[in-house]
Amino acid sequence: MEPIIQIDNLSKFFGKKQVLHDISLHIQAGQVIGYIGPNGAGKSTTVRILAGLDDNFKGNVKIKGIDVKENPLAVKRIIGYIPELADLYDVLTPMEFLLMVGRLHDMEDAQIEERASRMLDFLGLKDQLHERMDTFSKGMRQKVLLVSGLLHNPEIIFMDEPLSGLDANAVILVKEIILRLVEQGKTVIYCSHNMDTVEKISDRIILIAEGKVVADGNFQDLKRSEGDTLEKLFSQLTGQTNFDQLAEGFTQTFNP
Amino acid sequence: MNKILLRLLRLFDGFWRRIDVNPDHLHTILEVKLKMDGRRKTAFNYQRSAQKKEVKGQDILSMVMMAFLGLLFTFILVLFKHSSSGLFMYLSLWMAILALTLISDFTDVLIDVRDNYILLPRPVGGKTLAVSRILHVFFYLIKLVIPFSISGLIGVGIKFGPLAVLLLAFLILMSVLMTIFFVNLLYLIMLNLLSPRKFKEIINYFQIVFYAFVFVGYQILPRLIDFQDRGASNFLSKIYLWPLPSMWLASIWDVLFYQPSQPMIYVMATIGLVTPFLAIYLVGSVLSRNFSQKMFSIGEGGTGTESSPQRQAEQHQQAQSSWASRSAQWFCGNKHERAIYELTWKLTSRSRDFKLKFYPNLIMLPVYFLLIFVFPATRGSNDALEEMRQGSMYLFGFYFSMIILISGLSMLQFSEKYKASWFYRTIPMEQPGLVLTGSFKAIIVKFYLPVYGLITIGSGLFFGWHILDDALLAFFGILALVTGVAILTHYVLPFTKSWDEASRGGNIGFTLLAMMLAGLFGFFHYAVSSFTWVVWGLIPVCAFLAVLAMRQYGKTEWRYIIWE
Repeated sequence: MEPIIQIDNLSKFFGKKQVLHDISLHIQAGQVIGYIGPNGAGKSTTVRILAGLDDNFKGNVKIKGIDVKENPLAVKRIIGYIPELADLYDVLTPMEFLLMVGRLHDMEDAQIEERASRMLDFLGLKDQLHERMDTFSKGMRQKVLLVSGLLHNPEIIFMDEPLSGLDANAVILVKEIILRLVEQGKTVIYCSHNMDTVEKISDRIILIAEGKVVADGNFQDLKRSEGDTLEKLFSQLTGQTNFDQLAEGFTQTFNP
Repeated sequence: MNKILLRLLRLFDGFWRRIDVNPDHLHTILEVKLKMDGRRKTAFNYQRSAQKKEVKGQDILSMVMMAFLGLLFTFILVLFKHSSSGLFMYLSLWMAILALTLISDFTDVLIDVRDNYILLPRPVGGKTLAVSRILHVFFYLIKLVIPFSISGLIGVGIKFGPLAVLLLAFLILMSVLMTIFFVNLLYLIMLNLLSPRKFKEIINYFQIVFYAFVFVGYQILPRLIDFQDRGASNFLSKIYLWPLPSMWLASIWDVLFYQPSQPMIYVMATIGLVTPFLAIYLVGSVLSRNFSQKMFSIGEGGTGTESSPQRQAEQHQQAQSSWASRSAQWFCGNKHERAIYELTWKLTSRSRDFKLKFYPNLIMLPVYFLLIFVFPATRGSNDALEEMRQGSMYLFGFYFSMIILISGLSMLQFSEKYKASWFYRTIPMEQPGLVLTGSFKAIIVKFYLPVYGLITIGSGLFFGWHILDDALLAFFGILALVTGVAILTHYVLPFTKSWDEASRGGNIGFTLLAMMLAGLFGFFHYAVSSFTWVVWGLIPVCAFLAVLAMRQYGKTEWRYIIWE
């Protein structure tokens, strides 16, 4: 079966600095892919390239057989992108914002209004539908952002820290939503630093460090011994295991 | 207005499709952008901006302002004997105002980095995005152009007839196109030369320049134009003005009305006719594409301009030995006060809103100084100038400078990052008064002392150095009085309130009382200024009182601090 996401020899430079090194990945549809790595590893850069936001890269990237570089608009029609930065046009109300997003995805107003209000209702924002977002908390904004990425019923969803700012109940709800989306045959690329969530919901985990793939597989295959957690594995694979020493050194700074 | 513009846009749907622009997407983006423009927070609309509805008043206010400016400039246009020269002046002022408005008022809208996360991930074509940006600017300008040009068109119609009205309308349209082009070009050049952060900083300074331009222009321009001459001279013959785009447009008028003999006028008129159309092509096809790419780099924080860790360490070391930290050592008594002094110094240099609101005062001061000293003197005879030298007019300069101190201190409480003031509540400081004095001293040393020093030097050169005793007395007198008033009325820690609160009045009590008392002291000073021994005797008294007041202010306790 043809992979829904096909990345071959992807490299990316920022000036002279190479941030992605020859990455090749083939991802099948209907999975949650946990895409993890330390800060600055290149996760968000990869996602931006896959979402058609950055065409300045080397290599071949195809989403559902469509070349991202050649036809970014066709790619954007079938994907949903939920960025890490919960920056919205916050002088608008959620409904005004989502109307704009839906229209840009060529949806009918009636459909946008009906779907958006139902989605926001499930996320507990029914009463704030027509309130301006400049008074919203980070969690409330994140919920609007989530709806904006899913409103047009995309086949592939890129989520960059989607749980940021959400309360515990909302986190459980969003995790359940992700699993239900995958049951419907959608593919979710899930970037997060929350190892616990990634471990629980991912069908496949891809770990990158310094722009290179250092681990790729499901958690059961990746763990080296029974009782291993993804957190532990993450530390081992990214080469940082000396936490005892670091913590000791840190607390010793109180002593002259 | 927005609805009309959006309906007009719909008339061109066929054209948009033909040039590969999605009209529905274009309409959606512009509808949202215009809605957001209407809800931008300003001092005028603060109360109503909290509500959902658009603030229609904001549009109306800027349109009225433009109509007023248009009326003012129309006098230049119709009063000049040589109408091409009048038109040149009219268009020059208009284009300058337009360019500065575009840069100052509209840059935040134009460089909205949120577009990178909200619009770019949607299936919207690059051309649609570029055209939406241009049309957004165009709609914004329409709202300025129409009210501005009405009086000019009427004036020209009365003086030169209906054909002149058509020609002026055409020239104004050309001037708008040229201005968009030059602003776009300026942005691109700056983006190529500067890092995104530096670029944003420079844009901030443009906003300050814009304020100064309007203020200075409004005060000084009418005084500069010699209405006796009524613009009989021909500006079009002055070679140094030929590179100005307004000159090219004025040349078109000149060719049609005067049929001049100089071939250069015809060349400039041709340039004036060709450039706007060339500009449309360049803006639409080349510059807007590059512009979008560059804008994206602003959102991403830019590349290749970051300093190396070594350089950063060097910069940090330099900062440690900077003037701010050295002067903190001299003027602050303890570590807490020193820390706040340095914080104030740095934040007032880096806070965009503070610079925008405070720096114009620095410009306003010399302008008023010019208006009061220079203009009356230059218009009068030499005797009048000599007479002034004998008087005590310099005292006005000394006491007027307290605006810097008072406005600096009142504005210090506001910050766009006021929520970061939580840290005050976490520091184990017994006397928050040290926070107040630390920041107050920073304002004195950073802004007040240099301005006061310049005024003293200027006055010394003009009036003679006998003014030194008066300069010292005024300085210490103002310090003692303003600090005294602060002890009575000013208990807000620096950077703890939102700028929105400033638009609702801020600490008016402090400002009024300080100005009133310092003014009264100024009268007293004027009364005793002829008795030199009294002035010299009062200097140490005032200096002592200033130090005492500052110490007392530093003893302010937590229970007096006003948070909300």
